[in-house]
Amino acid sequence: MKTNRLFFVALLFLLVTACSGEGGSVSTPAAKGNVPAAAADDAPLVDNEDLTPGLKGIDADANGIRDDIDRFIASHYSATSIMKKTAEQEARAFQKQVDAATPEQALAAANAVSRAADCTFKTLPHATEKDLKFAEDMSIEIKALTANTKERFEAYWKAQEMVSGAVFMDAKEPVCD
Amino acid sequence: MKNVICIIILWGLTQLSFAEVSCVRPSLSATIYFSNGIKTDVRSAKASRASLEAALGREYNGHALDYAIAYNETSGMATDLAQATAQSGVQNNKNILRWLNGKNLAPEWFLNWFDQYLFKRNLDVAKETASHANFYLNDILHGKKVVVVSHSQGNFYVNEAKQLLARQLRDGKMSSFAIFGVAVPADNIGGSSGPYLTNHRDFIQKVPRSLPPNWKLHHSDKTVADDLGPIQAHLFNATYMSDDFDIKTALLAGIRSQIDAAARPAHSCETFNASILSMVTGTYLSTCGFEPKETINQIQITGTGMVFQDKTSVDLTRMETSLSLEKGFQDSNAYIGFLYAGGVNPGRGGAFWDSNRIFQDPVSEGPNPPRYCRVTKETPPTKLESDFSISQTMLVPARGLYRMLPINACTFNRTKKNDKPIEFAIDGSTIRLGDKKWNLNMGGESVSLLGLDLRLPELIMRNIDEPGFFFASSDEKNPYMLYYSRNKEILWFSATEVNKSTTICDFDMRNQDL
Repeated sequence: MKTNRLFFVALLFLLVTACSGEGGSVSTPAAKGNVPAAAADDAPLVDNEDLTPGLKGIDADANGIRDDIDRFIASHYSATSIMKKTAEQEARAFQKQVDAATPEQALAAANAVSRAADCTFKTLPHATEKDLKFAEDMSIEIKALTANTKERFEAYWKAQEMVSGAVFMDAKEPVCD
Repeated sequence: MKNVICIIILWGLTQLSFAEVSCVRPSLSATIYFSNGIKTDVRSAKASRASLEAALGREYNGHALDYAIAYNETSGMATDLAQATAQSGVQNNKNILRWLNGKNLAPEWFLNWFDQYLFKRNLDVAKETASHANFYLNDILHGKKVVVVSHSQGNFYVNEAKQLLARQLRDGKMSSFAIFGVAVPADNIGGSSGPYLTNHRDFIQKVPRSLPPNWKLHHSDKTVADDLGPIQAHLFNATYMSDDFDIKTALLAGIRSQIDAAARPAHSCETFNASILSMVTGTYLSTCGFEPKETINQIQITGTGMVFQDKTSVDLTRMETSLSLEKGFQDSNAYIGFLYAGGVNPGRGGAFWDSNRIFQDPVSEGPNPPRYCRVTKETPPTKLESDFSISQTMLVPARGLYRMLPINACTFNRTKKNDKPIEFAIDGSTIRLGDKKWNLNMGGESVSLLGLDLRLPELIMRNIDEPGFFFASSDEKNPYMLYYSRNKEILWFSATEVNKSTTICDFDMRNQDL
């Protein structure tokens, strides 16, 4: 089995290298070598994006969400009060993951993320693939903003790694804050 | 710190009480687990789980369906990726998460880095599989079918988890466990050739020995999806569960078929009360902590419950609905049964055992985070001149004659004094070590067994795949001796004083069957 796994990762190396630029949306190169990513990728999601040192950034209103992410949610995901609350719950959960310093905190944060996802699934439309994609895009953009510096990105993934092996069941009601 | 935690946990166990509950067979139900692939964060895995629920619903053919994620994430990736990102000149890291989630176009440097990273990585799935298997086990013992939808790398995890699970379940209960593989890099699906789906554009087919593609992917307009990039073709949500392609219908049909095919587990009350409980009846010494303050507590498991050192007891005969394994031990693949008890508010306690010992002492959650009693290797014993005090035989399974061969790994005084091997014989009610002999049936008192895994986790982990056992003095003031055996081969032996030190004595005690 281990040998097979090694083959697996080796193959990924060989194959994905060979296939990059083949035309698939993920594999199409937007930049090469040391050239930064495409300009469209670097377009700010929100004005005055918080790139300050530290994990927490600026959260002047102390609501558990960085102020720039508050603004992002206000401008993109506030069509309804339910949508706004759902987005905010996801944002708080992602920030908890970034802040997690111990396996216990990481597990609590992951449970918060799981619960927030359940809330999103429950409250936002999900009958169609388009509906699901809207909700997923919302969470992707929020967590991308949350982990927008090297320090925050590392912390975010460290939190994922710390809960590897965990099983996430459906959160118990109420799933929404 | 750990010592304190262990004490808290043990105290917690003594506080457990089980409500009077009836043992009612649960209704027909199944849990659909999603076992994710690499570079998937918890939230993305939840998105996949959500897509499964959206498609399969909460009820199917009389089954109530629950959903869960058996999560895995490759360790160490984040730091490396962040470093590579910095080196590539990217100033804002938010794009990485977008790329990892299939949103926006990933630049070539990123793809190249990821490929090379994967090339260097070797997965260690042991930790995750033990934990995942705990949950699968728990569901089946609670009367629920388990169907794992495993995507990409997740297939490796579920395959190993199935092997682990198979050691724990008896009486055909494994037939309640099913897998459906998606984009499979492995060469089997839980030991079989299927069922699975890998589309013809998916890059995973190039993994040596991977199961071959078995689905020619078409767009929803019936045209062959030869224009689809091989990575895009690999994505769970964007391809396999997408309405844009024809494979989603087949995938859902396959999952439903597995739900139908999995056998409804037998009533699990009997499993614990009649089977496991009878297996573990005996008296145990649970050892937690480190010198100089390790704690040793006696726990007696009877046919009806657990009796603790302070004489408090827990009725285990009606524990079915109280059993809820929330968090398994994460670093052991060595368990046969478990006891999990709720009631410590707001934490929980539990214990794991096999037929002769408690080998994973209580875990807890809530304010008492999961902790395991552990003792690191310490110096080998410096004396063995005292006679042992063995009061009851626990040795029947190991009847035979063994030769203990001293090797350099242990400074065992007794063997230092002898150039020739010492015979170690177990014969019915007696044990003989060299010219010393002990009667094992003295007094009829229960022998106290030590939870040796707490002291010697790596040894237990290495050898637990076959039955083994230990014995020790019931008198903590006297030295004890203990060993672990497998197939008439003594793999490990140790002797020390209970309250003095934890020892590992790596004698190579191969059975000579004299």
